[in-house]
Amino acid sequence: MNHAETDSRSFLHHGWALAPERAAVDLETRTAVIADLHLGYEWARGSAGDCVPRHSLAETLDRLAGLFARHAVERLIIAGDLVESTRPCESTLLDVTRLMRWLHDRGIELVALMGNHDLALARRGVAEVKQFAPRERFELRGWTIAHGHKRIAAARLISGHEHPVLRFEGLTAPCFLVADDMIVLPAFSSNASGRDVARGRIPERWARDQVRCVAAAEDRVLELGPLGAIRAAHLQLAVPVRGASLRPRRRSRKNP
Amino acid sequence: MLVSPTGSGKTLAAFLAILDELHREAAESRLAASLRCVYVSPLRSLNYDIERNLRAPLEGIRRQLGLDQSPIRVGVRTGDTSPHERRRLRDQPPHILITTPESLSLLLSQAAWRERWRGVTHLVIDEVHALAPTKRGADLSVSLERLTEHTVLAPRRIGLSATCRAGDSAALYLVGPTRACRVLYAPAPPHAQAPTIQVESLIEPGEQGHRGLAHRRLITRLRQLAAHERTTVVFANIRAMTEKIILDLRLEALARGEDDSVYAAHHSALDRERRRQIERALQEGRLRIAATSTSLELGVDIGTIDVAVQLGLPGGVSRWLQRLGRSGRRQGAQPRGILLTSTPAELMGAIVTAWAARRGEIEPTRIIPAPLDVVCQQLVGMACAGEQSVDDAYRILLRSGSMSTLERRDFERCLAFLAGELGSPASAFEPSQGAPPRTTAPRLWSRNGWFGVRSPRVVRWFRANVGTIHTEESARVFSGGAALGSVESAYAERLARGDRFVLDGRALEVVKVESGAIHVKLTSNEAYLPRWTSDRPSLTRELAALVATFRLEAGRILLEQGALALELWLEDRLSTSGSAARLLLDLFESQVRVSEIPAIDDVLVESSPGPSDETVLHAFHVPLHRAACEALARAVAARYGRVLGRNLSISVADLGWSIEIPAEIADTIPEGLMEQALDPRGFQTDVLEGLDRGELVARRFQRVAATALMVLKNPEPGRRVRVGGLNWVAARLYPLVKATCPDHPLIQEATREVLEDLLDLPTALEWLGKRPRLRQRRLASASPFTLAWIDPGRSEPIVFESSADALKRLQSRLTAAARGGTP
Repeated sequence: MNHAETDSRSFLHHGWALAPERAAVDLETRTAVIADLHLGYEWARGSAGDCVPRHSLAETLDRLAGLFARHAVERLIIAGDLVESTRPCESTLLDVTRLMRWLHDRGIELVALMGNHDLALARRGVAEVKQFAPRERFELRGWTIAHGHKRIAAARLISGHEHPVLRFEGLTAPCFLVADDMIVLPAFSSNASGRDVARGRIPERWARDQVRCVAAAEDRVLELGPLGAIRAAHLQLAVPVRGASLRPRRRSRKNP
Repeated sequence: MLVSPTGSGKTLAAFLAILDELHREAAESRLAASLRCVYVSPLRSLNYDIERNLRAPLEGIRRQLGLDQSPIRVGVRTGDTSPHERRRLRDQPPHILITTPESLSLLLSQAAWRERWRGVTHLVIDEVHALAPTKRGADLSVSLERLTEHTVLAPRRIGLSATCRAGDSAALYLVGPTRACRVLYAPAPPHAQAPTIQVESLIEPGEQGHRGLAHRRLITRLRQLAAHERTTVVFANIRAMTEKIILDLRLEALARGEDDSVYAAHHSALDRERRRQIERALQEGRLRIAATSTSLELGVDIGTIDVAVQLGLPGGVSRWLQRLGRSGRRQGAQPRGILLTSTPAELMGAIVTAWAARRGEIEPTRIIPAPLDVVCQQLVGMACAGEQSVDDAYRILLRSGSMSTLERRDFERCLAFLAGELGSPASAFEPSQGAPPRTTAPRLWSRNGWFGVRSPRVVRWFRANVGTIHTEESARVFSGGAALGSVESAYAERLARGDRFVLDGRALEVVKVESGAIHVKLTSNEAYLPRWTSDRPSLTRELAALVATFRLEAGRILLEQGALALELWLEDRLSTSGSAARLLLDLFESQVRVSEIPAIDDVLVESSPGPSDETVLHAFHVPLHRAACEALARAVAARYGRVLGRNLSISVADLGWSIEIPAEIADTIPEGLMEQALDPRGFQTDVLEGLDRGELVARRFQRVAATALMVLKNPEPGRRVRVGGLNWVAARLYPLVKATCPDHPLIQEATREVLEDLLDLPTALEWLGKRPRLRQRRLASASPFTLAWIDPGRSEPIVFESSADALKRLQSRLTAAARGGTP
């Protein structure tokens, strides 16, 4: 059996502990994988003219601290979309620097992978941390880790980018989608709105029988069984969708 | 304040004094080229009215005086004014400036206009009844004070209103707390006739629940009106309905080989130019039927309308009289209105509306007390014009009719928010050095008793986002390169090539989707109605109480004197037609058969299986309007939830609400829960808890944040943030701000708006304080009154479980399903 509970809070999938902090942790190599941090979200809003409180770095660090308190982690892989803005401002770069320093202080190695929001960041670099050069992919124990915005040939893939969530009775739970050859990570950032896996159109890879859904709820994860069964159960949407809906919501294109 | 029905010439009356003054000065060659009178109207398409009410009289005076050219210059400044014209108005101000609340706010934010206001002696505010009870009106009332601040002599204010009760607060709105106001009621013209109001039911007895049938009859009835009347305006309350009516009328006409161009839809999602075309067609008598949501309700001259038709209920008496007043403006004609209803509950509501309208029982004006989001926008506006003293700003605000109750503390917190001084989340990992700013893009600096804008970008943002009108993000629709109108972005996102929808009363097929633009072509295939967000119309406090009273009286007659007596009472006392009376009789008889007619001092609670098998429904019937029911429903849901520990959902309506409880715990509902739930003690606290667990305040916060310029409706071009979606402000920003700064002025405003404007807490409490008797009924299915009035199903979740608990429940449900149970 490939699925087993590690502690009461995480869920083990082929050696990866899926943690409620929206991370997949390889216990053997002490490597945590997260995706879609969208750091500097508020600064991106600010440059569009919004006056909102600073929060994303603090939320990120709080969540990481929770993860590291329960799992011994020596390496953190950020599978793309480290930042929100495709034109990151100084404050965003400062947040990234602070995150790096925070990890460094804890002796945690950072591996950043390229996401579609990160292109400019990679070009520009981060002032203090010159070696910031996101890679396209990372191989670990036979798994390929990549952001997932581009097609990538891999036997077993861990990716982000899609922000899967499960909407049910007015609550939105970030979730992992897992199969023997894939782990789709939920967005680490709470700012990223999700793609509802229970309703609407999903990629072909998710529509296979073996794909299972593992939802993160507060301080634990819950294995909910095959995604197909969840979709077949027609979960009640809390707020009824009124008006004629023509077709399932299509994926809106994110920033190029 | 001059009170007289729309179209009676009151706009000209308002201008007479200043026209006289200006002509005298011109005759004595002492007329200076400076601004003297500012006229503000809530309507953006002013040009027609002004043409008729001002330019034509000016031309007449010119001829009478034998002048080559009128000495008086008139200028119009609205959102549609070209940049060239804007500059001209600024450099050579007219004697009379015609503008809107938004444009006035913009002009006041420009330092270049500061000197222009000095000589203003007259302020004319049109449609006061429509402005006074809104945030838009609150914004204008501050602008008026700011303008007055710049004048040498305090200008005379002239307010125009179609309706106004004696001693109404609309007068306070116009002049503020420091000045006196005279209210003049214009006598009715000699040949004016009282309006006639007719109530019709589209369904016959025994046909309840046939929505399709009612709609087919509606089309037939409208075709009948089109054949007999010159022009009919149909008020359909919501945009989708106006589209549906016009599409069906057109298709019917085409099928019969008739002219389909005599039908048109008019609502705010149609392109401005298209709306102007329709207004012109109406004026020139080229349309038989124009269907509108609300956009033809006010001002704009739409020619001679024979009949005003209301679909369903207008909500209030004032509003119905306003709509009705759009008809019969031809010399010697009589205003005529028809209320067309498709359900028995609508019919009952319409009968009562007509009864109250005939007696002229208009509702009092309720001014929104000191809305803080408007304060914030006005503070930014003041700062845009130049550095401003904090004390002066507060003094100016206090003088306005809408802001007279503004507390200094609240005012200062607004300023602190705009200056970026209110909290951000505390983190265990606060960087020790070089702490980043607490908020992004603060608007103002504030120190030593003065404030001003932080950067020129703030001025740009203010100008691009001025105003309090909240519209959903939208995508424009183009047909052959010409703009037709728009659909909401949330809807547009679902559209793909080949999809079909209705707009401008035509079926359209999507040819191409671009970001922010949908290209379409006409199609003859079946198409769907777009979805537009709008507030559900509801009854006023007064009308709801009347409906409850009439309902009770009808029930009493039925029980004491029998069916025939009730029928006669409906026909004679309430001028109901025979078949409509029988329809209501059916409703009352079937209600009495399974339950009872709710009394005024009782609360009737009917429990029955819910709309799906998974829930049990508790339907509460009370004699209150939706805002009061909304408060009661929240408190009762909070009390239920605390005892039951499960997520519930509520549906709120006029005259009652319902709560859905998961069926599997229905047996565990303790005895006496309903009595406890209606206890007036601790009521307000529980209303707040019910609100916290729902999403109403968060959704309101979205608008409040936009009005206060916390988030911009029109962000810096090319910088719109995509991740997070349209709901980010409600789903993330609201809890974030609330957690870090619970007394943030915008949290306070969103809560106030919900508690006072959306929820009528005082009325709910007053009624509860009378300790209404609880009457419980257990029914096999929802009662006729529940289905007619409360219509459960459009519900909002009230969350009591943690997300982990709810997910665990989902998990066991899915596991059971996998083992072969029913999902």
